[in-house]
Amino acid sequence: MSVRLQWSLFAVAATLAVLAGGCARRETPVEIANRDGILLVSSGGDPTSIDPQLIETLNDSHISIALFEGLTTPDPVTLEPRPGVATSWDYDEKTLTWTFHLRPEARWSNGDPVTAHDFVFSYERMLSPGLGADYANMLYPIKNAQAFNEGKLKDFSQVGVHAADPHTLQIQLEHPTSYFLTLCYHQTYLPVHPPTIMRFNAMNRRDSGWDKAESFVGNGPFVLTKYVLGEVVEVKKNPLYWNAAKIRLNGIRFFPLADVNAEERAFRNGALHITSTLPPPRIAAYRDTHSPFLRIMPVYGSYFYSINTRKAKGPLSDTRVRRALNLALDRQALVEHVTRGGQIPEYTLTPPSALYKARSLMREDLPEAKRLLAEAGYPDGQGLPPFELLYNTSDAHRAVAEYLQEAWKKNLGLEVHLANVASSAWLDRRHNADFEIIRAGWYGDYLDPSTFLDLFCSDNEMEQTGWKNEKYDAFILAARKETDQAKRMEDFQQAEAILNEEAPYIPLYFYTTIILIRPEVRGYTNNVLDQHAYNNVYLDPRQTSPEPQP
Amino acid sequence: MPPLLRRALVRLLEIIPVLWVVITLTFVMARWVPGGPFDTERQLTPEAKAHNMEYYGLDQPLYVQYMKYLWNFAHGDLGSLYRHPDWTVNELLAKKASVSAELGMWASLVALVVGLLAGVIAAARPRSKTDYTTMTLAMVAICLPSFVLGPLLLLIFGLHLQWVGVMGWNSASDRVLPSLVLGLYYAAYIARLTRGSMLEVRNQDYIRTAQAKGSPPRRVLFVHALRNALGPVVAYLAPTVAGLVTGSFVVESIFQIPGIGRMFVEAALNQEYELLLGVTVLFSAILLLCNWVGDLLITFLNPKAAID
Repeated sequence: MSVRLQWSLFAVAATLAVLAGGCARRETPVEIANRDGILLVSSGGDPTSIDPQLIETLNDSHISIALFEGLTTPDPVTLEPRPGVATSWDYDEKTLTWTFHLRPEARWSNGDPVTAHDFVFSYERMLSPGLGADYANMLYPIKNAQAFNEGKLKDFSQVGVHAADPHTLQIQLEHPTSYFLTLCYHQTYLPVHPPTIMRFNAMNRRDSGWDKAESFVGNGPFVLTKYVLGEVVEVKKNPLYWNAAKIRLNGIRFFPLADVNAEERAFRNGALHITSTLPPPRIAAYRDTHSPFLRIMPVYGSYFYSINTRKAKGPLSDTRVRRALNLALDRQALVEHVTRGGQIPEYTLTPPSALYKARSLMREDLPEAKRLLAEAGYPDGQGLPPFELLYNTSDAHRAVAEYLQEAWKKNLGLEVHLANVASSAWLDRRHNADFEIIRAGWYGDYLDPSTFLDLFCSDNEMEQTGWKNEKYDAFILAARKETDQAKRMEDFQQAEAILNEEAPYIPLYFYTTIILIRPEVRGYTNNVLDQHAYNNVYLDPRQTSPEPQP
Repeated sequence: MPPLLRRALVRLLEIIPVLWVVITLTFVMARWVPGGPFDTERQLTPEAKAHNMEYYGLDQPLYVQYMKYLWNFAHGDLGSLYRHPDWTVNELLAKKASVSAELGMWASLVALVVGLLAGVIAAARPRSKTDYTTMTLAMVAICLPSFVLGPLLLLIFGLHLQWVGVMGWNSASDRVLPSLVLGLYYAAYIARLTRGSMLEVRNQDYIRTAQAKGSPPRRVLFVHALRNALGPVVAYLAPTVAGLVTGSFVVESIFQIPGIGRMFVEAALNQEYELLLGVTVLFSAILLLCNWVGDLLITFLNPKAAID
């Protein structure tokens, strides 16, 4: 055998040897984790921060609910507020004041008791103009909170949060807010540990680094042990949590897998228990094989396109044209053949929930669409100048945009140009009303129709459609002040009917979150806010079929 | 001072003004993109956005921001991150750069060893079966992009055979596939370069002299021919190593490796101006240094080919 051949063979053998290093079938990370009681989760991307007052995305909140606990916690199925740090509460209608009674056994992870003063301090930090917290406006239902956050009020004692005694917190509202208790479990209402904040001088600083693993203090069921950007966030069970006895997980590891294909491979390789999403082309494969790992969860989110109604005498300012655009679509086909993600076609703005199901719905009616278009002066699309459909760059959004372009061309004879820009440019154009029809979407922050219907109120800066309707505004404002829940829902129904009548938008589908989850993960219940407190989660390696869902 | 040494020193000092140009150009280009780091999906209240801009000094006139950056840079402070306020650019680069450097090193090793061997073997018997096979394989490796090769290898060795993990940078086996995926493309190029260069060299007089003097063929090949053929390879290698060592976005994403390649792209997409500047300057510095080393090596290998 020539030397050359010998060397080549050696090289090949060496590579194979290293690869087959643990040639006996290696124990997967999941198997090891099941033994240790550790949950392996993908958090989708790097967390913005561990500081609950600075987080931005839903994925961030999956980490923060492990590390902190608010006054209330959500029921895993119905999302009704249940006792958290507070054991009970009373409401005084006359003064609009909620009184929360805190449990005396609640502790921070360093042993300090959790007191009402900690919440007062936390809300002051959240609202402090110096911190510039993105979501400070979630606390605006509190009296004078907005004024303080905008810098108009300097004295925080005027804001409606007071500690009557170490275990009694009083919150006075600006106006009746019937969903206030659900707000209390939102991540913006989570408390932070005052001595740690003060030690790092972080009252008004976002980059103090108090939330690194060495100095972290939280009051949740888990405590932070490792936080490396781009690598992992690791938490372990907090023995001082008041309900520690009921927590069955020993720890959780969050991997920031931003590449969705890498995430799916990691799951298949036995490196993850739960993924954060699933690449759309793979959904069909799992569905067709009835995979026990696939889980499709409807969530409180709406995918739609906003129409700029501003241009006076422009075709899109004409309600008939807008309605024609809506009537000429087949949303079922869109969901079934284009997005293929188990999404739910939507004919209105607000997704259905136990609380509220919109009665008025956009119809789909092609002859009617053609008739309206003709009536508006554009029979068969003649004379209507081509308009631009703008979306933020992504394969998924492009597929939807192409569908709309095709549908309108085929059904109405309209010419539509597609344009895509990077996300931040897309947001810019949305905020500056620099679009004709633009892709939009909204995830509800809390379970109440107002989080969606507020978007089309004339005082909202988010959706710059330029559409204003006094009656719509009136219903929304009435709902804000109304205390009777049934009457509020009726106000929303009326408002939504107006919205669908005038059509300053094109509803397409309701979001679903599609994930892969291993059957040994139990207690991970579906709900529309995609909030999964780890208090109820445990690992049972004996289970091989998926957990039945409500 | 010997001319070689003097030239080397001058070349080294030239790096500084080039870096300054890089910083300035990057600074300007990054600001040209519409939108900013605080344009999030939820519209910030104007006060919150204004406050954040002020906190990071983004509301100051551009030349002020530029001078401030240069001043901090000179003191070794590369700035902050807007989207991940817990981390500074220094911390991030320190943690990630070593990972990317290691990956790049292994990939360079793969590229060099596999490439040189393949090239020499092919050139030893031109137009033979060995030659054609090797060069065809090289062509395949060049045409196959890493985002195809990577998942393919992962599918075989990770998912089907379950020999390796598919993500992370923890065990030794985690190094194998990423280095191969990253390195094989460059190995192919080096193979072709080496082969071509070797074939040229073989017709030179000094090779015939060595053969006539009775040197064993392997010595002629590896000592006389290869040394003189390495020029183009080194010239190719310098920027390649620089690129490899500063991370590869595609490979790091596929294999979920915590390197700076991903950071580079994310910084551009998220408008993390200071991270972008930091990574760009790092990459440029390494590139310039690698070129400098490359220059020296070429001159050392063949003093007659003095470049300039």
